[in-house]
Amino acid sequence: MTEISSDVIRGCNDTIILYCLLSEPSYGYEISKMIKTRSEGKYIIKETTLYSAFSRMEKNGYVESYSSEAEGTGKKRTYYRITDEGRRYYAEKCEEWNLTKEVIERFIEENINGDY
Amino acid sequence: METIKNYLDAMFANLPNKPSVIKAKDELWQMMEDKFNELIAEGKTENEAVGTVISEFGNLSELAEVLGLEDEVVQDEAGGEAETEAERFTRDEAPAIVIAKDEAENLLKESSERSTKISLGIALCVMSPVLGIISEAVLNGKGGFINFLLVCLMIAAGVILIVLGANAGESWKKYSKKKCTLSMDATKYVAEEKAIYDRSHTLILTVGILLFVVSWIPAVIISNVIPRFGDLGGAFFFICVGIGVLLVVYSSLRSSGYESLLKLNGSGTIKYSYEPEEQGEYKYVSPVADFCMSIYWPFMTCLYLILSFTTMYWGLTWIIWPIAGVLHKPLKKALRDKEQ
Repeated sequence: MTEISSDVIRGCNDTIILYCLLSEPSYGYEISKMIKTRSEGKYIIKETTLYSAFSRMEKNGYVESYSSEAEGTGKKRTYYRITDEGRRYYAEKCEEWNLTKEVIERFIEENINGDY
Repeated sequence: METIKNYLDAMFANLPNKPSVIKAKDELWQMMEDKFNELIAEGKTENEAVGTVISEFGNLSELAEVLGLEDEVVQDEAGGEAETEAERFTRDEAPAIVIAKDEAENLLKESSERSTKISLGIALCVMSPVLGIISEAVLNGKGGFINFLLVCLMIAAGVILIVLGANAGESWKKYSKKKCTLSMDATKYVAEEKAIYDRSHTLILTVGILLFVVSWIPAVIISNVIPRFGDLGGAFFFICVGIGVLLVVYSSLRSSGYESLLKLNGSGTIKYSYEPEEQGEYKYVSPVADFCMSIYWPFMTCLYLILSFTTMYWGLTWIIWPIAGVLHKPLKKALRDKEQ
């Protein structure tokens, strides 16, 4: 089975993570679970990838982090919340992706034997 | 769960001990713990869950940039290829010698033997006048040469013990010359033993110092209550000081034994400052401050002995102890590294 190459998806991790934060703040594992479910198990994000994206985006002001106790368990977790700047960045990334997709598709040939 | 914790500990063991690294480790741990718990709740076995969590962890070199390690790009000696510090640390190079847990146990045992011999030796030297004073009293002042001989014997025995102690520790010598590091297990073991010992360390030190303070009391009492044995008071005095020296030197040496083992991991790494419990150990502003604070009590002991023996004002010199005691805490606070 084909697997997603980490090189190809690297530029899209920010988009994916910000999408998960659009409706409400969330924390590391919940986001990684959302990505897995939404991609039907086709993309499992590595913990280190997730963390480096978080801290990079926090530095750039796209997300804010705060510590909060999870309901029920009382376990302290770091939550992330998307900022207005982050929403703008997300919209930009979506546009960028649409363009990329459009361009790349022109170079995708389903029938590589060329016998048509 | 323990396996995952060990895995993460080992991954981070050689990274510098700074806030950004600690934060990353904490948060990665949160994610791994959540994932593990959920896998178990889904009915996976512990082994399956551990396997999944570890295989989906990723690669530490991805964190180099956010951990602020990418500035410290070093040149690979062989290929001249640029390599970040994180890669250098996580790369499976054959590091120096790795000391396993049982070897660390052996080294700690050696250190404790060495401490016993050296402190006992020094104490014997300090107490050397005791037998002379007793024989002087028993022989009614006619034991001139015998007294001298007894004193010399005690000093000789003391010196022999000190030399034996200083030369003990074959295995330690073997390691101290080479670049080595403790395995994660060994680090945990030593840090845990150190935490246990630290509790008695303070007690032993306090009792030792207390003995200095009260050392002159038996002598005063004896010479006032039973003047006939007044001369023996001196013997009690030397015994008190001797035992005091024994305790202070012993506990300082023992505690520096743990410290030097942990130092093999390289100071500044997480492994070096590994703490078994969260008790927020003191980090000082600089290595110099660290050194000064570690010799604080031995230094005071030396000062006390030198001042006392040179001036012979034993009734006055004990003042050093309350003063040293009062000064210790503010000094410790002043030199504390505020960033920690």
